[in-house]
Amino acid sequence: MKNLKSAQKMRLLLAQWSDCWQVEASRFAESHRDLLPHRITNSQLFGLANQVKSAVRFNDVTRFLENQASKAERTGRYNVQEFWLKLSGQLSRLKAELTYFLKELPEQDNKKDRERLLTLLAEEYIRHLVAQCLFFGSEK
Amino acid sequence: MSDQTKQISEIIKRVKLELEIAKKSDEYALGQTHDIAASLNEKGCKVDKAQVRGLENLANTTGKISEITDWLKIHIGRDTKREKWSFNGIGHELLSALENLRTDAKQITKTLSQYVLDADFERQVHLQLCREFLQHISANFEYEQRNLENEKSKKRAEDAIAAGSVE
Repeated sequence: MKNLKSAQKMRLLLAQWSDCWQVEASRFAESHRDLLPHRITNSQLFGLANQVKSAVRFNDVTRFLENQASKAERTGRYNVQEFWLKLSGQLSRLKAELTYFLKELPEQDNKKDRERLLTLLAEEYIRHLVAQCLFFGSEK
Repeated sequence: MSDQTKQISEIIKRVKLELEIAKKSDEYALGQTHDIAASLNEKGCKVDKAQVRGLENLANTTGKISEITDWLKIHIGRDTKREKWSFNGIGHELLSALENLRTDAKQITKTLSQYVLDADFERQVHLQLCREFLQHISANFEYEQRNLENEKSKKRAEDAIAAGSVE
């Protein structure tokens, strides 16, 4: 029963957080609108979404972003590299958001749950970002 | 305030909330939802029943408004041929309609401001209004689609009879 209550609370908090951060993700997409959809392609965006969905640890996501950035650098696409690096920076901001959840759900304050929560937050953020980027791309 | 008074106040608040949502929902049934459903049934638009139902189901099961809007944005973005959610800007219209429901949610929250409301109340109302709105779109869409199909089959039957009488 306690677990169920905790899960319900978690679901609600995540929903609130996600709706709130959609604006933030949209703003990030807006600031890189010029790269869409040709420099940052739909395939790259779907790849990112799939990577985040299948990630077990938060580090898997950041490693993917760093890899994308170095690939862009190797091919001389420095504005694309900047996009991936800035996105990586945005995702590291999510770590600070954990405190909001852990204050409400102190029972989740252990390494495993924190990692899971952080991956969930990244998944939400990336979903908003990918949706907004595809939306902007379609307008061109 | 005693526990009993608190409970009664909570019940009154819920009943009033349901009433307000029902009022808005009835307004939506005849207005914009009808137009959007008609656009979805326009010739050339390839949005099918499964997608509309999928969106309705998503709205009913999710706790996030952003998940509904993300779904729409992704489908608009994927529709490079502009024959589904990008057809004649239907997706854009639906997105802004859902966003505009926030004003109604604010109004309902204001109406119920005499009761104790938590910080998430307005968002919850907005989500509920989105669900109602999409439910009407889905219902209108399927109803009109069936009507169109009936008309088509009636016309086919009439044509067949006419062709038979000529022979």
